[in-house]
Amino acid sequence: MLMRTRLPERTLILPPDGLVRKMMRHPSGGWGLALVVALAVVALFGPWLAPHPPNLPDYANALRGPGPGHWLGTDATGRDQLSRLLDGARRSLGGAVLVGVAITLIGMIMGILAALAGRWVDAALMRFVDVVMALPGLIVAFAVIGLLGPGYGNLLIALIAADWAYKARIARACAFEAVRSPAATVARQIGVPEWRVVLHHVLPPVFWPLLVLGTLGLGGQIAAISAFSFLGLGVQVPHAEWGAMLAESRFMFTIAPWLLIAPAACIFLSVLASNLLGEALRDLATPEGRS
Amino acid sequence: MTLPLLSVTGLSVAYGSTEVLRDISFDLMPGQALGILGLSGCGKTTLLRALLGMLPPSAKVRGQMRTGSGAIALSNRAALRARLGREIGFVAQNPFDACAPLRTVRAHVEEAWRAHGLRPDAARIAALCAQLGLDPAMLDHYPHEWSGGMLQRANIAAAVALAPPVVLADEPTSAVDADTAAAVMDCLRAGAPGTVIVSHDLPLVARYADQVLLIEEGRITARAPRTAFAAGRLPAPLQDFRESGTLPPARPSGTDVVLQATDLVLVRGGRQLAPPLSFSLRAGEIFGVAGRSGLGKSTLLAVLAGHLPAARGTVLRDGVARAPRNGEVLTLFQDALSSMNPRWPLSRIVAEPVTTGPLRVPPVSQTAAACMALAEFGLSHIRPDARPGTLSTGQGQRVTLARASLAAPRLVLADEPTSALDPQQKARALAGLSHLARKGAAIVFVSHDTTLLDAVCNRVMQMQPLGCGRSKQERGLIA
Repeated sequence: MLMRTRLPERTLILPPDGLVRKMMRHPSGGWGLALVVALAVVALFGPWLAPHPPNLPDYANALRGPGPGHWLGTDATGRDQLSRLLDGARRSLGGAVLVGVAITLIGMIMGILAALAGRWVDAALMRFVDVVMALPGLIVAFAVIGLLGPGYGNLLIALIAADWAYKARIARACAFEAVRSPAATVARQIGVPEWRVVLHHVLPPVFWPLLVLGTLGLGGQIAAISAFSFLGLGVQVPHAEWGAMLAESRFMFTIAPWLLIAPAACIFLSVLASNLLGEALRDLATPEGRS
Repeated sequence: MTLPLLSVTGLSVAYGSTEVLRDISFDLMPGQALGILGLSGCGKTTLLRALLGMLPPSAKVRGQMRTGSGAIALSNRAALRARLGREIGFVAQNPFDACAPLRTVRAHVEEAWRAHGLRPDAARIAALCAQLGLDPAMLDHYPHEWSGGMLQRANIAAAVALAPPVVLADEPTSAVDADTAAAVMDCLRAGAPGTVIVSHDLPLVARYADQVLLIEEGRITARAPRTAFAAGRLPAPLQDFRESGTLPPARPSGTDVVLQATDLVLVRGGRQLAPPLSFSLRAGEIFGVAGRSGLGKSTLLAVLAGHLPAARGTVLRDGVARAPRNGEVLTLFQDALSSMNPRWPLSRIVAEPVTTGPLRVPPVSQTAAACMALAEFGLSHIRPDARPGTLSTGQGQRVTLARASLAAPRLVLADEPTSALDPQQKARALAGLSHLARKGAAIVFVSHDTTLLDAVCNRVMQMQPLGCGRSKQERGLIA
C-alpha cells in the first residue's frame, strides 16, 4: 500500500568509477563478467585458436564423434566442429555487439536531437519512431532482408532497422528530462557552452540507462542472428555461425547429436552471460536502501 | 490503572557493527499524542520502520512491542506487518509518494481492507470522509488532481480505515502548505485514540504532542510533557535543540539596483495569476517573496531568470531591458541534490563556474578554488572527491551555495531552498545565504513560510491572489 513507484530513468544513476570492482562483488555480475570476457576472447581470437581450418572439408573424417584430434567431433563434410564454433563466434557475438552499439548510437542521437530541438523536430522524429514501433520488429527485419536479399551484412542492417526505434524512444525520454534538469539549467546559467552542457549533463543520463538496456538486449540479438541464420537468411554457406550450424545439422540429430548440442550450448551461454551482466548493471544502477 | 495503547521496550537497531538506535523505550497512553523529535539522520525514520516491520533484512532489530493483542518481538517482521492497518496505522511523509499515481484515491483507501483480504466498507469510508472533511466525490479522482493537504487527509483515512488504536506519522506535514498543516494535524489526532508523530519541527510537535521525546544519535536524550514548553522548564538537551535552530540576523543591503520590475504580469496557461507586481532588488539584499502555492511564485522566478518572457510589464537589469548575461543569474533549487551532476565529485561540481567564461582559472587551480569555497560554507570536513549521493539534503544545499559563491552571480533566485531541512541545517544554509548576500549578490528568496522570511529577509513581498485587495504588501523593511 505504501510502495513507492519511480520511473526507471530517474533511478538509473550509474557511477562509472569502481564499476568493475562493484560488478565482481555482485552475485551474478562476477559470473556475467567472467563469461563475457571468455566469450570476447573467443570472438576476437577464434580464427587463430581454431586447431583446423574451419571451412575445409575432410570427407575421410566425416561425422566423427568427439575425441582426440576433433574434440567436438566433425560434421557431415568432415569439418572440425570446434574450429567452426571458434570461427563462428565473431559472427554470432560480434554481430550482436555491432547491432547493439549501432542501435544505442542511433537511439541516443535521435533522442538527444529530439529533446534539444523540441517543437516540430521532436514531433516529426517521434511520430516516425511511433510508425516504426507500430510494426512488429520481426516484420521489419523480414521486409529489410526481402529488399536487400539474404546475407550477413544485410541481416545486421535488418536487425538494426527492427530495433532502433525502441531505443530512440527511451533516449528521448531520458534526454528530455536531462536537458531541463536543474543541473543543466545551472550549467547554462553559469555560461557553460551548450555543447558542453550536452556532453556533461545530458549525455551520461541518456547513455547509462541505454547501456543497461543494451546489455540486457544483447541476448536477444545473439538469438536473432542465430535464428535468421538458421532460416538461411543470415550467414551463408560455407561460413560458420552458431545458428547456421544448427540449421545445417538439424537433420542429423539422431546420428550426430553433438553437432547440435555444442552450438546450442554456446548460444545459451552467450544469452546467459549478457543477461547476468545486464542484470548486475541494472542492480548497480539502482542503489539499495535509498528511500 | 489504564494500560498503554502501545508500549515499546528496549528497541535497538544495528546494521552490522553500527548501532543506529539504542535502547528506545516509551509508552503511548490512550487519548495521547507522542512527539518524537530529532535531526535528520538521528534514527527517527528507522524507529518507525522498526515498529512497522519494514526494515531491510540486513538490519538487526532487538526489543519488544506491546499492543492491544499482546506482546511481540520487534525482530518478527512478518508478524508486525500483519498488524499493520488493524492495530497500527501509518501515514507517510509525502502523500503523493504514498498513493499509486495510476489508481484513484478511492482505490488507495480501499487498499486498507484489501491488504487484509477484507471487503471495503463503503459506509466506513463515507463516515471517514465526513469526519476528516473530505469531499466523497473527489475520491474517484486521481492523486495528481488533489492538493497535498487533502491527499494527506485521504492518507490518514486509509491509515485509520480499520480503526487501529495507534497511528504512526512520519513528518506528516512537511510536504504540505503551512496553512493546511494545522488541519492535517487535527485530522491526525481525531483519527485514532493514540498518535505518534515523528518530526524535526519543534513548534509543530510542541503544539500537538502531549509528550515529547528527543532522539539524538540513536538514543533518547530527553523526555518532556507539553506543559514544560509553556512553563519554560525544558530539559537541557531539548532547550539546546530549540536554540540551535535560531536564524541569523539580516544585514544591511547595498545601494546598486540590480533589477527593477515594473507592473509585471504573470501568466500561466493563458490565465493571469496575480495582480501586477513592481519591485526593485539591490545588491547585497535578501528579498523575500511569500504567498500560497499557485500564485505564480515559480513563474516569477522563471521570468526573473529570463527563461520566460513577461506577459506584460518590464524587467530592467542594470537599468536596461535585456536578457540576463551568462553568469549573471543563478538559481538555487529546493532539491539541491538534483542540481548537481550525480556522477561528478563535489570539487568538480563546485568548480564548474570557474571552468568557463571570464571566471575561468587553469585546471590545476580549479580543485583548490572548490575546496576553499566548500570550507567557506562549513564543509571542510567533507571529502572533495565524494559524490552528491553521499550528502544529506542540508549539506547539498550548502554545496550549491559554495558553487554560487564561485559563480559570483549578481542575482540569486532561491526557490524554497530550506523547506526540506531540519532547523540546524536550515540555520546553516541561511547563514550561507547571508554570506552570499554579503559578497554582493541580490537574493530573491521564495517561500511559503512567512516567519522564516521575516527573520532573514531585508524586505518581504506578500503575493496576493487576484481580486484580493492590494497588489502587494511590503513589510519587515529592515534597511
